[in-house]
Amino acid sequence: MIFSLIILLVVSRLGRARDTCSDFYVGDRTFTSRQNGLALFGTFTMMTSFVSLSDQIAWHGRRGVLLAAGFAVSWLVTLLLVAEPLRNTGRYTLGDALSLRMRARPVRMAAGTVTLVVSFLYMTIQLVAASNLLALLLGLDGAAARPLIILTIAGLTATTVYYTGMRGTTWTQIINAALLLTAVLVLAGALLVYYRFDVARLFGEAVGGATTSGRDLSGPAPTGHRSPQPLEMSSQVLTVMVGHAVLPYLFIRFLTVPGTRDVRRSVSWAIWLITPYYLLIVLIGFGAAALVRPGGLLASPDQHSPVVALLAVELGGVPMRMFVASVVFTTIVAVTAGLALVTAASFTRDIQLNLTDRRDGGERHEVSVARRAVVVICLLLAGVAILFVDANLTFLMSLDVTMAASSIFPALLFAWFWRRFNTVGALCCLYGGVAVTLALVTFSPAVSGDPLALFPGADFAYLPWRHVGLVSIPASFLLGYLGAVVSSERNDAKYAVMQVRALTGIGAAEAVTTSPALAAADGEPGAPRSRRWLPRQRRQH
Amino acid sequence: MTTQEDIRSTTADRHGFSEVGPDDTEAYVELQQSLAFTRLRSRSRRYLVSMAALFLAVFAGIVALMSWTSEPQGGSSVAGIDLTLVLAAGLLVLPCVVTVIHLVYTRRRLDPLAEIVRAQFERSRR
Repeated sequence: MIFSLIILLVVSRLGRARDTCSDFYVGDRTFTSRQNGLALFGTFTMMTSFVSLSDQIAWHGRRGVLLAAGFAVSWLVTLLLVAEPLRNTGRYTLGDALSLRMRARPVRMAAGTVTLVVSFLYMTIQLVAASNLLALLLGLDGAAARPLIILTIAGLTATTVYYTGMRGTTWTQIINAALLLTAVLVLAGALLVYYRFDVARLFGEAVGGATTSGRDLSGPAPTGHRSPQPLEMSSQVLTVMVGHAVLPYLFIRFLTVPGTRDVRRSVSWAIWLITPYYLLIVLIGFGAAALVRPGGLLASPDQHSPVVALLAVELGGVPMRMFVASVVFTTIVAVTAGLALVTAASFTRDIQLNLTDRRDGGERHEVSVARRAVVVICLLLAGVAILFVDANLTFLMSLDVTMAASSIFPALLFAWFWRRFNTVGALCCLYGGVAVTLALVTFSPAVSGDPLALFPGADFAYLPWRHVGLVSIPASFLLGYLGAVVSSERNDAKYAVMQVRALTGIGAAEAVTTSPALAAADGEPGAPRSRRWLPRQRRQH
Repeated sequence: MTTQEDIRSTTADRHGFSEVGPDDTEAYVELQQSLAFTRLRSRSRRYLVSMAALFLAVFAGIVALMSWTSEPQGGSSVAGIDLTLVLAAGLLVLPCVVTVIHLVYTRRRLDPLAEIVRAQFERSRR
């Protein structure tokens, strides 16, 4: 609760965002690369890595470590392929980037739909998982506990985003990044002190303890129900690598810095933070396998069993547990805030203004639509999350990431690097990728024919894999290629614009210089006013 | 080939979201054919492809090593820690190495060229 107060305090000090698109969506692009790197790290390392990755490592050993490596490597995909062209061609949303060289209306619609579906699913999963975890950590087990937690989180998120837009969201994410790093450092430190810095003994005991309880940490095999295949493993790692590079909520973070060079710097900041973080997570995962005895691990066979929580209790008792709970709480608020903002931006720009022809209201109108969209999204989110609070949503997670990987990634790559690409191709990539993924997942063991599936009773799993990225990503590339070749549309002038912009940063949206009065009103002592390297442009937004 | 039709249609965004005017588009097309830009393009493509191939190869190599060469719990170890774990740590450090290379390469080889192209664009605007 203290942390929610801190968030509210920060929000109130930042003050209400002005009614311009630039301020509301991207904080006027005035964040420094270090702040942006921290915020990127804070958004990226949410529940997935802190809670489930340490679970994965404690349960499956090497397979979990490989997954962690997949997460880390996805940052390379971001750094090399996605971040800079996106900063150079994008304005606020995915639709903005794509419509630079396509017919705006259908492409915006498609981009908006995909963003909405992917982000909303993501938010729901995160929220449900977090409420389960928090209820467990705080020891609340009444019927009203979890809906209450969900409502608190959704309300806090809506307040943050409604009033401060991107600034508040970013500062929440920065606070969250700092908290997460502290939590991981404290846990790993306690672990090392416990073992008197004898890492070899720790790993030895982890493997030993696991073997006595029938698990095999050093083998590549998960203790699953179906026999694992190396191909499925690579499918999973590929999905993680590509999908996390293009998740829409990371997208908008690349647009919040003044220039191309700052994007590069902020991604490298994030990588510097993420590497030690994952190394510590691996340590924590193995530490949990060693310390939390088989009884502890097996006593919570639920998918959400938080190894981190068990380890925290083992090492530090109740205070540690409360600390971890508050970290989880801030994390989920930061993540949902980022997602809600992206969803609202995408809905407003790519769908609402696209369908109705009301551009007459100008930016003020657009921002007010976006503000209302935030509130509606948060309400809807809370409702859906409360409905599905008991469902097993883990399979949706991989579905969601696979969808992003096999629709957004091919569309963007083609748009930046292929001369012949056009509107039909983009639509095929976006819609086709989602459709292929949905179809494949429906017939995979994630939905039926498996004890952990969505419908454990039925069995229509004709495919052997739960993670279908290895098939669906190439399929989407193929669809995009076919669509582009079939359609006769071709416009080399637009491609010239896209290519020159993507590579050089000419015409990229600029940071907005705020007046001193506004800067003072911002309240943050180190208020970001980086003016390093700005391409001087003729056109101001 | 870029036609006049292409150039005109670039501006036909019905919401006024597009901020590219017709003369701008011509400038972009000219720029695309300039020497500095073609050099920047080929250099960045060559760099990206080789870099991506390299890090994917290293990644795949380590993954293959991890899954096929070591027997469970047995085999070689470095300072008492299972070799596969050392390899995994290597995997996690890989992004850092690539980042350093990327930062240095872009600063030395790509940014100056992009700067030249941008200066050309500015000149053509006046």
